[in-house]
Amino acid sequence: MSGSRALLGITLLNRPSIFKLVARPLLLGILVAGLSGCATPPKDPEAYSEWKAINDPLEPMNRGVFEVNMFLDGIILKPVAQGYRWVLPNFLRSGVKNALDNLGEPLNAANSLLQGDFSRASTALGRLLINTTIGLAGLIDVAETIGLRPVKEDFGQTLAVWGLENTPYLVLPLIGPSSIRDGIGKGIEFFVDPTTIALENSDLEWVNWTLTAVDIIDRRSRNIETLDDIERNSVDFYAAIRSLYRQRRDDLIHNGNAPEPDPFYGNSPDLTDDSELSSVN
Amino acid sequence: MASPDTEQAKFVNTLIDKAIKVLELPIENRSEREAGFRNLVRHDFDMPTIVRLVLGRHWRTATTGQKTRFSNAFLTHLISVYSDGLGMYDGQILEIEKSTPLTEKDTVVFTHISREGALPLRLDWRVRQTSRGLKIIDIATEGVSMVTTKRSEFTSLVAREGVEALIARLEGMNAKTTEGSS
Repeated sequence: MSGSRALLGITLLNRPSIFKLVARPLLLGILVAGLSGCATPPKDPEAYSEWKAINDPLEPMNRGVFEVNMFLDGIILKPVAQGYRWVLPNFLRSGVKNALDNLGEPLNAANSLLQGDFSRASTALGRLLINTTIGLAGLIDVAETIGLRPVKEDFGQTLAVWGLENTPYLVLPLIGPSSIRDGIGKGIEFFVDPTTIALENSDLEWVNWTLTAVDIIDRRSRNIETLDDIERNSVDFYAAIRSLYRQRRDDLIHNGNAPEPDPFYGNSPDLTDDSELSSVN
Repeated sequence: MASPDTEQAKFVNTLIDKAIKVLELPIENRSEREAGFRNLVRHDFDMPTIVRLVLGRHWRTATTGQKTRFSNAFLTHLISVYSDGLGMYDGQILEIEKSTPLTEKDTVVFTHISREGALPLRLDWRVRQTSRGLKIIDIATEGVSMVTTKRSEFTSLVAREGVEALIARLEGMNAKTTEGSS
């Protein structure tokens, strides 16, 4: 299995310019979406509290990035992943759990290295790399380069207003769902990650690129049907993924323990009037 | 492993047995499977509450006609998603771990499904004591709640395009699945 992976990696490696060809228009597209990216909050008080609870003030921009991600997925990643699966038929598929795990479970690269779990470490490194190159740090740098200061200020205001506890939903280019705090966290982690620094110092950055590309294809190949199913059965694919991602993160944080009483149930004003309940079944 | 003896745990146990009977029907017998699930849901799920929960604050502003159409479209959608997605019963074992009270009326029954060559799949059942007896009002897989997800999706769509658009979308999806099955 490792032979095929290396072969695939080397093939991709010989075409680094494709990555650069895609990155530039992708970034510009996202910036254009980003200029109109912040939604104005609704005036109606009930709608406003729902808007706050959803915590996705960047929704227009997020939807834009999401669309671009899905488009690129359809024309590049999914076909390659399907080919990869054909080459390696003995691939285990575990349905919903894998898809949800791959929707953004935070991995601690340092811990994984300390535990000697190198495949997890390489996964974490891969994500950090992509995020730093065309993720949050990349977006802000490009904005400054082409003189779009207002974009950067809006971002700063958002961070200040919402604080760092319940950070707004953020869709990262190519990677997908995250939160602003996670995005920043990953950027910081990258700079202090000893392995990445060591690889760079030895002119071995290409190792990271290879691992990244293969890892992304690997993960994509596992989730083709599940994500297809979610899309087919959803009325709003973007909102469904946002909800699934957040619930999964909360679940991981609580380690699957009993959830706290949900404010929707029992406390919701909707349910105090029982007379309406008999009108439908 | 001893399963807890609470009413709610027994209720979930019985429900699982009934569901397995439906899941044992061959995949090709689509209408039989859907009829089986429809019965289960009608009998053991609190659909009126679930329907209101997934529509959120928009329930109150919907007309009676919209409420009825939405309820029907949502029920059909739910049935077809589950009877499709669950596939055939393969002998998986469902174990009840514990039953914990959540609120005055609600209890969570924690179960998991053992699978060959994979970690057990966590399945949590939210059971409510209603005037018509015990009913399911939510199911969560690996911590992802069906009601929360659908509510998030539906309220997002309604806020952007209105209740009619949601009903139309659900009815459209239902029509596609019936076409595909004939």
